Amino acid sequence: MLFRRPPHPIEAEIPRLRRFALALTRDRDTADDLVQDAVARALAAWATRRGDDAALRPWLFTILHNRWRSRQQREWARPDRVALDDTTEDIQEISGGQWEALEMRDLESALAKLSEEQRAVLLLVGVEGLSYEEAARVQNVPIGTVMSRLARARDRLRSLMDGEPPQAGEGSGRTHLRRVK
Amino acid sequence: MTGKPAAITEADLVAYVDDRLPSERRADVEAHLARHAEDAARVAAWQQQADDLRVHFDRDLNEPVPAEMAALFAAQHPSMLGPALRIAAVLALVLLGVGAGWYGRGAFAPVDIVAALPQEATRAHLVYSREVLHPVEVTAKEEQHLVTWLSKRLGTALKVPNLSGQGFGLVGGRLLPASSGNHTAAQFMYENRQGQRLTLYVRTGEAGGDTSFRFTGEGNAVAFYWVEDGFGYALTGETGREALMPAARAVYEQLTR
Repeated sequence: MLFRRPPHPIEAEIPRLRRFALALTRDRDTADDLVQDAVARALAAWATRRGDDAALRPWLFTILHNRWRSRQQREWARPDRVALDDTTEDIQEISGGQWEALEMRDLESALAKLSEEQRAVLLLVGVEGLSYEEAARVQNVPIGTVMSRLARARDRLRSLMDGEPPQAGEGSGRTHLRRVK
Repeated sequence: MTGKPAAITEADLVAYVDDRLPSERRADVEAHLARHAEDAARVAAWQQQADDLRVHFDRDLNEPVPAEMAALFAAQHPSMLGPALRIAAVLALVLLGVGAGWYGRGAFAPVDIVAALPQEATRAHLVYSREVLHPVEVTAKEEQHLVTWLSKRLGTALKVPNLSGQGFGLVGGRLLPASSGNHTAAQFMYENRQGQRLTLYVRTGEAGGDTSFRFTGEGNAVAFYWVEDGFGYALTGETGREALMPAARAVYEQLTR
């Protein structure tokens, strides 16, 4: 349509913020709530922001990550809290013959077993293309931690995809979900 | 190189997979991998994994932005133009368009609009058929998702012709800009065992009426194209006319049936 207002630079980053939030939270509603919160903060800070457009994405990711951290700290105080790493997810029922879908779901369930920080670093560096320095800033850790975290995440994902024995909480039939090479 | 390279660390392997090493260090890592099968297997698995992750996560990018998020920006940036001004501006553009249409009546005849079809298709073909890492946005592994997504973006139900009879399998597809219709086009890529690639380009909003099955060559690349029911189709390959013909026939028959 003609004469639409020019999109705000942050607006174009929303799909990426949503998938980062989803990788952190593993829940669509929580993720979108987090993005909403982070974008509102980013807009409020926009006028005082320094840095070029190339640094916009890491800047936004850092805000979102910080918001998530402070939420978790609040959550921590709640007695009914369940640690994310303790949850197991049921594999959905799978219709026959859909090998491609199986492979995707396999990756999905393998990712679910990584720690939140491992999932995040794989996304930030491998998918979003952030530099190690930028990823370190987002996660608020030294670069060396980013490097070793990446190595651990990749090794763990590899062993999960290569058919590590099924763990409690998952149905039988899991074994043929391994990757086809 | 002079002197013995520093020992290869795990961080080197990580950076190698992420393609963040200076070329000299890269060569050191490659030499190391040639001698250490276990590290080589580890790196190969990581690389495959990185590709899979990109495909996996890129599905999420096509989801529409929720209204409440978009609303944050509406509040931030009130439109510069009031409604009355906007109507005036549209009117001015329409008048400009009428004028341009009259003075440009020779230049913008329908035949030129149709000619843009194979041009756009060929350009897109030349760009993406050479691509090694990312020839398509969505791979044929996710054909259903690919078709649903592109159908949604083009605003019409698309179907993907099967060229297995001609020895070509579907690689996947992508969304492209176009000069017609809603300014979107879909490109489907096929590949045969010899690694030859064909692309089928589909765009909407062809204004000039149906055309017959036509052939055009641009450099090494050749294309068959036609317009039907407002859709422009072009099948492009760097194969020469004779080799492309059977595939083009198959596409034409499957899509116009």
